Amino acid sequence: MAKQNKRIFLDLDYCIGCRSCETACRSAFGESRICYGEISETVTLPIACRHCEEPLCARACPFEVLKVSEEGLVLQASFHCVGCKSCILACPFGVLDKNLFYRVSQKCNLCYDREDGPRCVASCASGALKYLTEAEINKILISKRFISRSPFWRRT
Amino acid sequence: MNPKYKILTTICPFCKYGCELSIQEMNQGNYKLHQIEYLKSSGINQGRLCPRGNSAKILLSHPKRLTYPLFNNKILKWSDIIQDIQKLIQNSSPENIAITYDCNNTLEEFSDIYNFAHALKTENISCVYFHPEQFFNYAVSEIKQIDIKDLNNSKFLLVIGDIFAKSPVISKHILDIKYSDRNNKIFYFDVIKSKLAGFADKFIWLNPNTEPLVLLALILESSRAAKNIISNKYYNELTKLLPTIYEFLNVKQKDIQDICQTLLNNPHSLVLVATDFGKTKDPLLLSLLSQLFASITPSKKYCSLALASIPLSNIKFSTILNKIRDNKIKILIHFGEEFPYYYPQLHQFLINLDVFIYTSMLRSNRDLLAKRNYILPVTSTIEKQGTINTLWSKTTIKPVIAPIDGAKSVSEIITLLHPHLNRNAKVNLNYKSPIDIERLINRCIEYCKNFSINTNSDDFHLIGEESAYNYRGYFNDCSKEVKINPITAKKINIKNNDRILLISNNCQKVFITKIVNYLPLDTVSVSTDLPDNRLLFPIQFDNLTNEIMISSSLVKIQKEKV
Repeated sequence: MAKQNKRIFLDLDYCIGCRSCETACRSAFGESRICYGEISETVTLPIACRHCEEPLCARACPFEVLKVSEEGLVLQASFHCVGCKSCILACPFGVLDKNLFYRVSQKCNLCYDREDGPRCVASCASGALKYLTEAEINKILISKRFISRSPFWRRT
Repeated sequence: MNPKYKILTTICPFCKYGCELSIQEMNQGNYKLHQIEYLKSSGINQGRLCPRGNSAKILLSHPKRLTYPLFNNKILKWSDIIQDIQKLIQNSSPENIAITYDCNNTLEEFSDIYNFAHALKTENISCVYFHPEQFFNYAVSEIKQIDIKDLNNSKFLLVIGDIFAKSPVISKHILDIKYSDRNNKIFYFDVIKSKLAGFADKFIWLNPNTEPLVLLALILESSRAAKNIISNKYYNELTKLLPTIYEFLNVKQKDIQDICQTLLNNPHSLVLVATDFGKTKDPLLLSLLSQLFASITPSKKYCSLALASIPLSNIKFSTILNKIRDNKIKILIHFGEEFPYYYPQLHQFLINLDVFIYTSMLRSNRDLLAKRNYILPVTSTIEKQGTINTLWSKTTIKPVIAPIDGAKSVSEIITLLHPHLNRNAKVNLNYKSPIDIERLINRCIEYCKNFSINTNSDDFHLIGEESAYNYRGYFNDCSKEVKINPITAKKINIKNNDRILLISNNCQKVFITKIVNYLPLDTVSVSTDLPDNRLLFPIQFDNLTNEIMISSSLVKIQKEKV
């Protein structure tokens, strides 16, 4: 199977903090696997799992519940999870929710059961979340730099 | 796509924005909801949904979903309960019966409700939707409600109220407008410095209850255009009030003049308005003045974002309440979802009823109001077919989910109650009601003269806040949280997570403090998504429309003694 190289990309210029992404995830899985933070009261920041190439969460898991799949996704065999929270502590981005759901940590699987990509991206009310390849993300970043639309520049 | 499942599409029932909602269900003819699907090809929302839409699955399979009729909290059979109600209706004179309806009915059901009232020979039929948005149905001039093309073609937007929290799906269109051209501008007025303020080119942070004043200032600053709609006599009187208005507004006159010029000189300018429960003192003025300002812009286009589209009744509920209080109405039959629990202010009147028959989707743990209470389980809009009005058009919906066992649609219930109902009688459903401009101007003058920003040092402005994320408390129950400005909190010696008592004229309630920077001074806000906090806001009978008006309130704050 081809390596899955698409990732969730957040365009802060569009995020309105409605938390649609979180509710879509919760509606499908019972608990949200996307983390929601606030930079300030007017600037919000949903944080999704990056599916790192060398995932620290997987390395920290004592029962090898988290594994990198052939497609490059960090997937969790929930049935074997004992809820030790090692992965939660290990994640450098703080994406994994510290609260367990049915005594199991919640790990994003990029909705691999869905052909059109993750539900949070499809449901995003303002179109801030995108599901893109690395090349596409770089293209956006370069074009953004040219028109000076960084969120901190735009938002007062 | 797994062949075990199939996808059916309907309109999201939780507001009137008209998003298409796709539902994935088992492909075995049992129409059972499996998951929500997000189809890029569908509708104006292109599969995007707000937290309300995402909660469809929770509502349809809610553990409190009512699946059997109740009489004073005892389960009865449908046949028995219908016989009981029929007898009560037969033994009562038509003047003693009132019929009410709220949103979440199809146009066919609204017709059936009116035909049912006609068949019972009662004139007491009224709409019971008291959200301040109901005043968006009152109009001063013939201005056009926008369609989606107008929205996408507009360049200069005047936004009043937090439209992103009300209808998050509109944000994609608005941000696309903003980023498509550097010259496009968003001007935003609000009491709360919400997330939308972060996107606005010019945000004006208003003092509580001053939304009508800023609109009046905008109208008066466009002097030439304003003279066409306001007679000279009133124009001069209002202009004299302008310096006082600016004092209350805390806004520079030049800012208002600049915004006014930009909007009036561009054919692609647009006015968008939204309001929350208990957010402003006079929602009628907010609605009428924003329409009046929109009518002097070159496009003459206006968009009011509301959660419901509901026909207005000739007899207002305030009249019916007075009759209930005077014991002239004994039986109240209500068709809709969860009234009266969304308006606890009305309970003091409803306890005078002998019989209260109402439809509901969910079981309620609250006290019974009348002597005899009949609660009939009703289906959701997703489970029925018919026509509904959305913000953009009239749309036909089909049932995509089989109705839950035991629940019936409003039309089915009416058929059971009156098997020989004449459905052919034409009913004119009225969604707009005109208001004379002279009466509006008089109200403006009165509002300006009576306006005072300085409250007693003990009093604080209480405003309501709503957001799609807090819908029905599914994802975030903030009913126990009160938000307060840090300077105000310091003044009264309150810290984060302190327990405080809010005392309004209606009631008092304990809240947990959360200090936020987005509220103005001497203002506190509570979430009004759930009915618990709504009781803090008083009801008034509006003298111009005779509607029930629930507005912002003044409260006293006390630290709770441990």
